[in-house]
Amino acid sequence: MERRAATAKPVAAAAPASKPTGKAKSAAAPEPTDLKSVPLGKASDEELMRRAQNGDRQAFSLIYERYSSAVLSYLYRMLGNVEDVESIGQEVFLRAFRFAPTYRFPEKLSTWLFTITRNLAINNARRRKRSPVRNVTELNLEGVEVSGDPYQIATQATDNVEKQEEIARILKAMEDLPTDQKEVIVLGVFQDLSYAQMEAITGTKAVTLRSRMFHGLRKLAKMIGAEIDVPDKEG
Amino acid sequence: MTELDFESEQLQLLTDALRAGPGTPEWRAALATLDSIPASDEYKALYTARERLASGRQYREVRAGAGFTRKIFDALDQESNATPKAVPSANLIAAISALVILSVLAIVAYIIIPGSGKSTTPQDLSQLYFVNTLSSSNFDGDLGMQWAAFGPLGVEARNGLWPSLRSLSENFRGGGVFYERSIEADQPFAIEATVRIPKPSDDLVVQVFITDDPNFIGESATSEHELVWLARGGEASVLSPGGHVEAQGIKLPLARKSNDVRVVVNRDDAVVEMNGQRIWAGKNKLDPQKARMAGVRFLARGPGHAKDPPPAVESARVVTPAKQ
Repeated sequence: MERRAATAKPVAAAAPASKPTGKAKSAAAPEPTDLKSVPLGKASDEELMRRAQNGDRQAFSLIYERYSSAVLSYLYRMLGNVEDVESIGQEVFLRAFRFAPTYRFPEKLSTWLFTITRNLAINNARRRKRSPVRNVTELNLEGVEVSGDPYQIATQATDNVEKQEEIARILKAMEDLPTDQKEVIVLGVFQDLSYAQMEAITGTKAVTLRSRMFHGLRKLAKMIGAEIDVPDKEG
Repeated sequence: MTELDFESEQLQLLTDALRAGPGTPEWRAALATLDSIPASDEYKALYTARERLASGRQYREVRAGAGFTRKIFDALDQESNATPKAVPSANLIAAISALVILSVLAIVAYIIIPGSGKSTTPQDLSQLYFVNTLSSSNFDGDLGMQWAAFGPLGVEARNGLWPSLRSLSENFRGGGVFYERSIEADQPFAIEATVRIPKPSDDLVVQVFITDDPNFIGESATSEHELVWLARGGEASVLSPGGHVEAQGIKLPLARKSNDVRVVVNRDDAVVEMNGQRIWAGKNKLDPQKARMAGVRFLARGPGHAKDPPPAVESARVVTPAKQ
């Protein structure tokens, strides 16, 4: 937490105006002076968002195209409930559109978007009881394609039967990880976000995130019979 | 047994590799040092697990189909139709030019005509009657419509909003709820909250805030730019953006079970009231160009508070003045 020197009673509450260490900042990209000079399809995510802030619907459509799978996949991996994925996924993009003015260039768009996604997922988990994970075929959802069978994924990845078994076991074991460890693996491994971005999204220090990554993978390694003697602090 | 130091170079190398995965420069850099470190067999197992995970990258991958996409953009069209559409740039330039000319004339008139025009003051702000409720919640069972939770400190809605005091550390951890709709800077509004503090403590803080930067970061889940009323250790304070202390040492009346707090802003000014009394008024120092958002937050630290009665927010609402 960012704390200012607590010489007086009220002080230890607000973060200082300087050094937002929890916030992921991209390498100093100069603010573009002419947004129209770059073809839309080649524009960076951040430039697209600035165009969207200026009312460019096509730019927002492209953002949706680039991020819809990442957002929906994160939600499914974290919530395990396809119904919630659809409803929350829609809300993510509605909010991204509605709160576009709050995005500040040159913050990484993925950080901003996943912060919205994560907050909605947390709200959802608090509001309703978790439904049991359903087989996708039980649901009649229109227009959401999911890949949920670990064995199917494993057989697509390799012909080696032993490795298939290990892959499937590890994927299934992810569901039993503590939520904070699972989240780091989902964001860092599956969504390929850096520790700095994850720090900005989750509000958790990078050193803690590294610990969660380590201990989460340690638990997964045990699923394939690995002998781990490294001390287990997180358990 | 030694504790693992995740700030050490070795473990940073390892965890970078575990995040990045096989085939990446981080992976190769970590593997190159593997044989030179103790417990390398255990770490090899981690790499193996990570390789298996890499093979399963498509697990639970979801792609939006046409129907899902159509729903999103239909909803966006509805939102767009409900709000003013963007003005074409040529019209915008013409409108701005006209405004500039009119502004110049208005300034000239202001200078020439005595007593014309008034800038707003906090006094003007406190004369407004806030009768339109944008959103209100008693946090009874759920957060209520248009209120969203944030921050690593969990909150519960159960006959009021409560912080979760389990698993506290020696550092402050923050969390709360905010009203999800932003309010334009030119729109005066107020956030009103009823706060209960059964046992004042320096380690348990409750805040009512208005911000122009709704990115709540770090363990404290604060943003960089907030106007805040806060209660800590039996006293209330007001902080303006940048953490400047505008008022402090205001004793909370302990005989009262609940305290009514009100933070009112317009574009430039602010008034903070507690139990019907003004405790501070002045410039709000928020960005006059940016929309504002409002909320309540708890900050807590110290493992010894798990059984203490925590502070609570009994209700919160966001209100705007009656249209003149």
